[in-house]
Amino acid sequence: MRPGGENLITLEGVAVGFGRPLLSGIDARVCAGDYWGIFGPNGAGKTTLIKTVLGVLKPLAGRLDRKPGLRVGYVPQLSTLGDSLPLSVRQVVDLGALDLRGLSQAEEALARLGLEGLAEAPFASLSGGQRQRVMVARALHRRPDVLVLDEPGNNVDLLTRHALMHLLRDLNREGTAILLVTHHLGEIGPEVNRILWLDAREGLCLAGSMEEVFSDDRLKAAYGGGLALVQGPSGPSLAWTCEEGEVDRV
Amino acid sequence: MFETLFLLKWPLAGVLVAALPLAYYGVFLLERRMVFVSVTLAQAAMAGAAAASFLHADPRATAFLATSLVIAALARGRGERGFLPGDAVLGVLYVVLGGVTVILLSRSAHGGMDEATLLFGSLLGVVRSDVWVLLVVGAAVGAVALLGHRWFLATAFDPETSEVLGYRVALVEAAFFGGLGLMLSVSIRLLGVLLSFALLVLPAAAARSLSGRSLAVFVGAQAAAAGACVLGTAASVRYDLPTGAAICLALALPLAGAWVVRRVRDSGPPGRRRSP
Repeated sequence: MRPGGENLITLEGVAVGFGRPLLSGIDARVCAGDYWGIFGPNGAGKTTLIKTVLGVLKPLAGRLDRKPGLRVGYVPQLSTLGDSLPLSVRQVVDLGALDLRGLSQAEEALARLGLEGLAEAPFASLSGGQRQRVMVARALHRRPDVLVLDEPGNNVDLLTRHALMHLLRDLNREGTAILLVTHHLGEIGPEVNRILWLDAREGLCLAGSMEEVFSDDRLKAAYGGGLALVQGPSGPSLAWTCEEGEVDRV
Repeated sequence: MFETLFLLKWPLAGVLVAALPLAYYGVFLLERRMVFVSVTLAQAAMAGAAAASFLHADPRATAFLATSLVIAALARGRGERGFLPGDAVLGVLYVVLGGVTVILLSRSAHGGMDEATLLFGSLLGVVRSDVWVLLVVGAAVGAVALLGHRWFLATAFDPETSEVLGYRVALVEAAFFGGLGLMLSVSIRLLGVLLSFALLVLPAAAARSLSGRSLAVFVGAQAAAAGACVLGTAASVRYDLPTGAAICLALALPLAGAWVVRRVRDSGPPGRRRSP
């Protein structure tokens, strides 16, 4: 169910890429309370699109509007970090703000992620899961209207991924719009209410609700059958159909 | 010995003034896995200085021009899939600039500079005016580093998010590499390529291997660099050694000490082991 909140980001006929378009004709509207799953295989153009939405890259065509004063929190892929710099966890979180006002928020963000005891630990000494939590804390430090996460499930254990998905669901319920970039179908849970399915190689760019995007025909074309959208108690989600009447949640 | 050391007060002051900012920059270069950038920039500065007599210009100005050109070229090609991988480009630049330097010096009006001077500079030729120039440039670069330290950290740690947050990453990078290029330009004739490289890398490596804390690493690197400069100069006086080479060796001592400390620390009971 789409909450139909305030318009935060609008894309109309947007083309993204480096020099030449990788993806074209992207139409999407991110509203307060939305939970977008931006899904596609490796090389689909997900990160390029996100960098364009974040303002790091300029759109090659079309119109991209952001609400004035929009606060965006960004959690990049861990592999892009200069993670051997001699920084403590608290310093990493504080670098998430342009100025040093708001140190109490840093404590608050750390506490939310269960990192109070690690505030003074060197970031370089943390595990992948802990680093991911620190990066989310850093993004929350800004009290964002929109939280953008680029493949947050990569390089973290199952428990961390599970806890992260719960946290995102809670943040979304509190009103933060989520843009979750992933190539793991398993991260597209029932809490996701909007889907952007991308594949630059196929020229695919579909936006809409789960039911609109994940039609049986499209899933069959992409995955060869067996994958279906099923209605669960908390909403629709993708599942592998194993035997007649049996489903395995993705 | 102290009397002789006093005679070397200007060379010692010169190398100390250059060592502190270079050790600071070295921490970033080491952590950003840009060690080879530092030696390529040092070589570019030396090539620029060598071209001065042909251009009838101040060697520091031509050195800065050369480092600026190399920095601009590296920045332009950054992140692109070019003809060669990034580290190969640095290797090619280093080799070409080294060749250009030797040829320019062999043809210059001042005659050929020997290999030792290319590598270790001419510290003994440092006079009071050189130290003043180093002091002024070092103070300016230090002020930029002090004001921009947080921006340097943010963009080095996570350039993508920094851009999203509104940091002007290109400007911060220009300030960082511009400061490094300027410092190398005014010190390259005194320090040579190898001593500049040693001051950038060895103190940072020693400090980083002992601590993971920001303040300890930056202060530790500068303290190690300063201590090694004094020790190397004193050893060169006491044992009649080439000053630049003696300082280079002295710069390796803190790293060797850090290695021993790490070995002892890591061989202790598991509960007492600490990783930096």
